[in-house]
Amino acid sequence: MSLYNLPNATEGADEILKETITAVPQIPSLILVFVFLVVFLGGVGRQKRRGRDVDYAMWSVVASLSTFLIALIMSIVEGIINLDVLIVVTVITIFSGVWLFLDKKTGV
Amino acid sequence: MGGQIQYIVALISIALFTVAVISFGIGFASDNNAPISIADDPEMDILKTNVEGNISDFRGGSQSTYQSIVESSIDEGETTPSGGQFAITPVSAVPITKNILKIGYIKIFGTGSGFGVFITTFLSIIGFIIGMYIWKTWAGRNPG
Repeated sequence: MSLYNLPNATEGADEILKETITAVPQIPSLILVFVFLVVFLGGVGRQKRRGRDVDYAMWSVVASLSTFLIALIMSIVEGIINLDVLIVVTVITIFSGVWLFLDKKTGV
Repeated sequence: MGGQIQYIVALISIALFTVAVISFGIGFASDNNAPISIADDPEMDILKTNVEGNISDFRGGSQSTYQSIVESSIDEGETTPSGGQFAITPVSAVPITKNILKIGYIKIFGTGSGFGVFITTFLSIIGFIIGMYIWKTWAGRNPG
């Protein structure tokens, strides 16, 4: 008895991803959260180590746009992410922009 | 606290950023024949249309505002213009952010949440700040 059934790889690499998502529907959302946190925490941590004031709003926008692009690429193939996840990622990206532009550091 | 110019630029930048993000998402889905598109969500499509309309209103409002500023006069020795009130800020800049925050809030928290008092208060603060800066710039002092 095998621990899990091997995905069918003859249809291409995206078929493996789709079968994995069929088994674990939360995977796409977790991938997007992972991308966001890697960019956000990585950027914030790196800026802090360089001894500068951390611009959380800017790193939030950078991380949001990275997540947004990954989500758009995922939307090309049906069955990877659904519309609700894509809309929430879009809204978070827009909210990050609102935070950045209303942040007092970005003065004109 | 920032100045009035900073807030107006911030509000318009938010609008342009929103239109850019939504348009890019819709264009990406269209170019690649994606089965899932932002355009499938009617509220996001309406938000894009509304924000584009607000930006268009701002463009017209900014012209008349600039005209009134150029034509205004301030008498010697006074800080308040006695030549009559003139427009400082195109009012259409404020509802842009209101629309964006409202749709975004609905998409994340839903329409029936009791958390709505937060977003209502926040939007009121934005409108209040803009009103205060309009007064301060016109009168040259703080109200009251």
